[in-house]
Amino acid sequence: MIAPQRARAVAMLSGGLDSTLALRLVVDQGIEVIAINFSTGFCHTDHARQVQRKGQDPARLRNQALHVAAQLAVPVEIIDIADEYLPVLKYPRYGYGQNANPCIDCRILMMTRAREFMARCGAAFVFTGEVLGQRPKSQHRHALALIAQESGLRDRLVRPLCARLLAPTRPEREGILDRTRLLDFHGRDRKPQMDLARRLGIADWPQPAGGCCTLTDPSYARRLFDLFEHGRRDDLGREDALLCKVGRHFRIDPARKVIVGRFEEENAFLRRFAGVRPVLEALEVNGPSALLDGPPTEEALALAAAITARYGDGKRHPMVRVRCQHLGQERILEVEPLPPERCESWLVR
Amino acid sequence: MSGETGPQADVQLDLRGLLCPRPIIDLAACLRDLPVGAVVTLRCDDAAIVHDLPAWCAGVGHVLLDLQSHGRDLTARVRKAHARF
Repeated sequence: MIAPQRARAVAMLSGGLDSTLALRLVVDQGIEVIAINFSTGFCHTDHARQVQRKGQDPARLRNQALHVAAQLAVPVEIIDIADEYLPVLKYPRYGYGQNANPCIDCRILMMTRAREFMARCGAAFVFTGEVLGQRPKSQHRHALALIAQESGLRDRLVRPLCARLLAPTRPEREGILDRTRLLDFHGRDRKPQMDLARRLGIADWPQPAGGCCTLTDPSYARRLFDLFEHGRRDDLGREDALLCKVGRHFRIDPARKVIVGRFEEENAFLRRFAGVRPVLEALEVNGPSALLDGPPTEEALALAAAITARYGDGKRHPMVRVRCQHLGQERILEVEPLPPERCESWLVR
Repeated sequence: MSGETGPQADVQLDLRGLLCPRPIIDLAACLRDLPVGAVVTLRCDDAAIVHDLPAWCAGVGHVLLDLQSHGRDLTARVRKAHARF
């Protein structure tokens, strides 16, 4: 006798506690699960890996979705949506959350891609770790319904952790999922999730409850919105968005800013963007690497060099020689380090 | 990790300079186009791949034949075990 084929589902798995619990609830119902993990370019852990500090334990920088899925022998497909994410970031139809996080548009984009993946792999539904009322922007009842509708998933989108507080979905109605074994979690209190994790023997969940999205970071948001305010919304590229994650940013005029590394690994990271942007470094004294972002006039280069000199041992010298590399050319600028109060006045805080 | 000596590598994949999650994405794409039994040898310098690669293989069901580090560089061999992913 041939065993009946198991129903298949797609998990949206970040590797945080909620999506891990949702995965476990569905796997425990005998459903075959394929997980997808989206790479938006705004994950804190990914960035920490890109600017990995000396002595940092690589285990702390592991991809948590892969780790969680491995324990349940669930395959994970990582899907890169970084390019299509930028238009969402620039012009979110449903606006931003507290910082630069376009949560509703982000969820619609991800779930649209999840729906397409579901169709390709012959799955019956998609599920997430969302909890009703947990996040003010994207997890209230209206937002959950809107995301299901706009993504095209409609009643094939299941939220196992709060399913019993929502209308029955298609897989529940069809008996693929047993609704009585789904949950009724709601609100911001994480204790029910932690209790469930203990009961299920899930020991570690490294991500904070707010998720691992850089866009929820206030200082990142200020740098991004500073670019938008200075005419860079339309042409914002991946490099611009990435550079907002590193260094101190000094807005020296409407068209230019200087980005100064804060530690050795950030300096190395900034140097990787040296293609069309001038890179500045003090000679003979220890100091940071800096980038001039914007058209490199003589005046701007001199100012960038003076800022670079200020943020290193050069601040104790009357004059500092700063090397400027740009488009394969190298020159030396001799500058007076700028007084700290002048630098501070330009700092994008 | 199986510790098998395995067949000769069919494909060499140089993923140095690429950072999370690009190496796993590129490895998955490479394996997708290969026949079952093919072996990919990859080089990578993303330190956390020592955790991610075994986990990815365990989930997907491909076989991690070996994983060795040489300073900052890592070399690994992965055998495609099935055609499902």
